[in-house]
Amino acid sequence: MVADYCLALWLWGRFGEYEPFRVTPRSAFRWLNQFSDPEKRAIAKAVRYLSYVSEHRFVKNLIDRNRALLSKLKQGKVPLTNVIYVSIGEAGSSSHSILNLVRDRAGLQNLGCRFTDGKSYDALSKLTNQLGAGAIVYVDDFAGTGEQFCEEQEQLASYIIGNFSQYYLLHTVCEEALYKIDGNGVTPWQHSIHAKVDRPLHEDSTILTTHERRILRDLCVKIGDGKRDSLGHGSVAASVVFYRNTPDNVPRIFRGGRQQKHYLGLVPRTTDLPKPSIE
Amino acid sequence: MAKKNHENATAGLTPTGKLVHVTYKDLAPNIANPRQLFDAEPLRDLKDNIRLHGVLVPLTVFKLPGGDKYGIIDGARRHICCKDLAEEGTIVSIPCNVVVPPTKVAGLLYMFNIHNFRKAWELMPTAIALEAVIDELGEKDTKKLSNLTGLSEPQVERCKILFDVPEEFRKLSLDPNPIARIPSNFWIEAMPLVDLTKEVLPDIYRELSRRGLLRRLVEKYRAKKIKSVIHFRRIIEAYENTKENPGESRRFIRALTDYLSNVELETRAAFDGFVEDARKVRSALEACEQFLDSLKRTKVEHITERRDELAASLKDARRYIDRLLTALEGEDDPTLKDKGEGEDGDR
Repeated sequence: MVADYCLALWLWGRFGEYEPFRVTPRSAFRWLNQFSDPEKRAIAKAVRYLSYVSEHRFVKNLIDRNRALLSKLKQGKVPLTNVIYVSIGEAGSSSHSILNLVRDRAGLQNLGCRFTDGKSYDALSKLTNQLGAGAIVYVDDFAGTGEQFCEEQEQLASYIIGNFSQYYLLHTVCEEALYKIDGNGVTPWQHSIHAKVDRPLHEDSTILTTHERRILRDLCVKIGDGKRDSLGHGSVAASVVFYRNTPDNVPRIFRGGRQQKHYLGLVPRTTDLPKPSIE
Repeated sequence: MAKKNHENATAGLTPTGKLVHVTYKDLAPNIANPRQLFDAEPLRDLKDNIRLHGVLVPLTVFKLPGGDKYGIIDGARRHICCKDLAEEGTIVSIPCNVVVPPTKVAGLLYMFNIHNFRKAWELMPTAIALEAVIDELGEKDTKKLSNLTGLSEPQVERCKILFDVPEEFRKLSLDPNPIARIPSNFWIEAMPLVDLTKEVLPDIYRELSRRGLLRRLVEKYRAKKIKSVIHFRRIIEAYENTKENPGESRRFIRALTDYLSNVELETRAAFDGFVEDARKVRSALEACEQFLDSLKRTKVEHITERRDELAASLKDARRYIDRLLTALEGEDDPTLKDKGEGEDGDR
């Protein structure tokens, strides 16, 4: 009991600033108390490897990487006015928010950089046709499998006219995505690589014993109602949380059930939370 | 006016005299055509060959601006094989001849010429790229554009129709959601109908405008009242079938007015009557011609055997033809009725 309370306090210290859901000692305690003692022991071990990226760290890391990228492009004689930042995914997805954040914090408009929405093929086509050559920078916070990105990038690449190098600016990229993105002709430009061995629930990791991992993986399946991807989208079993949201590649055990029914999460994604009532 | 001389714009690739050895990761697939759709079997043979002997013929590449990667101009298949081999654990060193980056138009023309051998692009991106070529070279001649790009002349013509499609509608064909996307050939098939409306229903054309008409057709398409874009052809066919006949022509115009004003009216339901009647008449005319031809060829006038049987059969045919002629001469004959109305009205 005391150990649980100590862990709850520690979790509050680490995830207390998580924006989509208020993590308090009480909420962390309630989260822990859903599990049996053997489960709790495995969870206590795994959760220490669930890294948290605060707003300050996130912004700093991303802006630093962006600065390095612009500097590299400048050295490569690419005028900054020929650098096009592109958001990907549906409207309202993380990419759009991150692009706005980078644009404002890095003063990209003042540098003369261009911006477009990856869903606007027509605008991309016109802009690249007008510029003729330069660089395209896709922006997001995280890439798990890289599949969704590559699918979209292949689609929109057929609308690019001219010679453009392509970069993917993001905070963290999983190693499997790194390979896929790079193979598609896009240079991943990340702050950190999330290795499989750093993810406790991933098969390649040795953080947990086989028995502990099995307990947690079974628990994930139970929380996820037996549905696929209970270890996170693409079974990536990612172990990273951003201040603004948890990637969908994070296992269910940390995110809780859909709409937090049956099982509560420690750091639920915005889409895992119950629908807000509009009154 | 041509912005650039063809020869300058499409000049051959300029070698830098540099041969580099790289891995697949250092190469970017042709940005203008990322769809690497090649036949599996020849690709397998090539991969086996590379596994045994390595890449023997250097790829042609150029340094991408501000990047560490090279863009592939020639050698996409070899690149795919090397990528596959890397996935299997065999990293291949790839020799590449580095050339000066191609100009925008040379890149576009190269892309056109290679994509002929791959799965065809959607028409709208092809049209956009072709428009960029025309803009750059100032060349508008279909035959010359066909030679330059490797697109067939009909393909160029189809793209040219899309140039006139207002941007508002072009965007509908560039919708990333394939379910919401309006197929590019919708505009190609719809344009003759818009022109026809301008000709036969000038009041409606003025009231709705070209854009308004297209919007109405999109509305019908979204409401699933145009089940296939080729059904627009039935409307044109219906017009062709009826234009010589004043009565039928008026009926067609009424049908077209209803069709354009009522979103719920389905294309075939509105126009199949005109098309099917015409088809029936065409078939009947062909049958008459064949019957007479066949009969004449038999030269049975002077036969002596089975005369009664033949005569009975011919009488049957005559009875049927007489009945048909009587029916056609009746008061429901639209041709006769229309002729009368026309005479009264005009004189």
